[in-house]
Amino acid sequence: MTALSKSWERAVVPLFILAAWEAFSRSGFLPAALLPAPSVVLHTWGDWIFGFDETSQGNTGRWLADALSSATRVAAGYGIAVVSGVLLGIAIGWWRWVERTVEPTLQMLRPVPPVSWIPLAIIWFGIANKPAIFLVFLGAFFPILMNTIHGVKTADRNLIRAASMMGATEQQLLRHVVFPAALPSIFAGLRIGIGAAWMLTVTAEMVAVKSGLGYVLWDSYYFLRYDLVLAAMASIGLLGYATDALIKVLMSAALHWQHGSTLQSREG
Amino acid sequence: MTFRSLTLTTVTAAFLALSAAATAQAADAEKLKLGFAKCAHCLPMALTPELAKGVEIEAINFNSGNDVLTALVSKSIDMAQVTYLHYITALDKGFDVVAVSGQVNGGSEIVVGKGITLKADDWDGLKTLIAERKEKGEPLRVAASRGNAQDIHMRGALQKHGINVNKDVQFINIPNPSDHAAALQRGEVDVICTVEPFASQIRQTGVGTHFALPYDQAAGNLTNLIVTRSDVIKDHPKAVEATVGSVVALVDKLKSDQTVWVDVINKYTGMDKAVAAEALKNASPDYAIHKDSTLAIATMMRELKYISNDVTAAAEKNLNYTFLEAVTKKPKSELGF
Repeated sequence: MTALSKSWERAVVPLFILAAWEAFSRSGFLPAALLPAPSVVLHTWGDWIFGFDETSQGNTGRWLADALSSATRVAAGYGIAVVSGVLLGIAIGWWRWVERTVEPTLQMLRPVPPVSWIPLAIIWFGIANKPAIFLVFLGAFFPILMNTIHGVKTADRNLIRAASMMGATEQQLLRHVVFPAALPSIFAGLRIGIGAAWMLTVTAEMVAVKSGLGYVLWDSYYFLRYDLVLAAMASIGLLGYATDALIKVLMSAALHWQHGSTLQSREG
Repeated sequence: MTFRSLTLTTVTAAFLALSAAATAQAADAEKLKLGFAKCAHCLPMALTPELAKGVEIEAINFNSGNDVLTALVSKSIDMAQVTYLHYITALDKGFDVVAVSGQVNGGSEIVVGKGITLKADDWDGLKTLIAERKEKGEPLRVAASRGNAQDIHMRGALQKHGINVNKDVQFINIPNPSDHAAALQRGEVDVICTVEPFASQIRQTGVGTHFALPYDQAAGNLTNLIVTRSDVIKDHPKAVEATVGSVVALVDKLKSDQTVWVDVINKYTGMDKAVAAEALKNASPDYAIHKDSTLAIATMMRELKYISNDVTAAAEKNLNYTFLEAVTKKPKSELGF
């Protein structure tokens, strides 16, 4: 199958959805401002990015700054989640006493929706970036933690025994056997975590920040600018897709030993 | 048949007959869905179903006025309690909204943080403070929730006293009013124009102190409005009139007895009754629709670039006093026109 036909396959469903949406919006069944057509959203989005005719009012030409603000918050929250989630996950998976003492509390906190932390986040961190980063961290932390624990606990015992018999210290075991064995699970957690981090951006940017894609989304909703709301949603989706693709590239490089031996390697 | 059993039979028959009549009346009554938001001034709307005559109202509670308005324009509900700002915003977007009654006005208060020593209504003192902070390169931080009634009241009041919100102070948008107290407590903002009951809570907990009620400007103290769509008016004129009747009855009830209001705030928000009672001191139940102030709000919103079109003509055209006139038996000249 050629690359061109593969691209066409990927584009069929989105193009069909866009065409149906454009036709429905223009049919007059609903007020045009309530469900703006994709062409209108695209125009507003274009103005938000390039600032050609002030369709997006105060946001004209500010997309890059907003995208960078959101990306910075996502990077900060996600970065903290990756470091803490992976380290704590390895500790819980490897040492029983850590599992006994720490895991019950974490499992109790896990089902608490991140949005319900907003009041505490404001009390602890105030307004602006810090509570937003905290909420993004919360969204990403638990998927990374759970997958890391799973990865460590399902590491092949024969490999660990073999390394022990060869005189490997605990530190060497963790570094050279357990961590690489857990990497596929860790990467699964990282991919779920980045999606959650972007999802939480919209919630996080409700909390007294002055920029960002989520901020524009909420602010536009207050003024019934559904075209900007949709443009913000699409922006978050695209950036989420791009960061996930980046993690897939990293995963492919880090898990090179799996090439040719997994279903994933079959994919082009 | 004994006297006792005869009495019992008669009472039972009368009860069944009355129940049947009531059921038949309820079945005859048209049904309308009425949305309202979760704020101290909005919550008494939950009482409208029990005050309704000739209409069966389903009162639906939403988290915010934006959700209520979105539900109305997408035809999920028939009538809505929103703010005057929502009304103007909806007209700017070309939505079909018609104002049929007022509800409650007021509810805005400017409070200052603990570090700010300003007497109430000392606008000259505020201006001096702003100038001092500006000179130091640390502008006074003034917060509100952008786009709500309190934001407009505050901007109007500051402008009237010669303070430019965009140049003289640093405006901070805190979208959720329930976050205002925490921001003031942490000293992250100096001044906030907030909504009840949060203003009362801020004062009662000592997080901040009263500075002014920002009603001395063109928009006055306008807050809530009851709106519907022209298709609802066309298809269910009697039900709309009956719903306006229940709003008028509610307003009269709130004017005479605030206990029910305190109870409904307590029931829906779990807020302390003392705070709720304090909040209601800054509330004016009012079914009138104030035309001049409505148009002033439309102009202010255009100047602030909150809307992109001049909607003053539409704002005036879509004020429908017919139902209020029918219910109150007053001419529209006495109803805010």
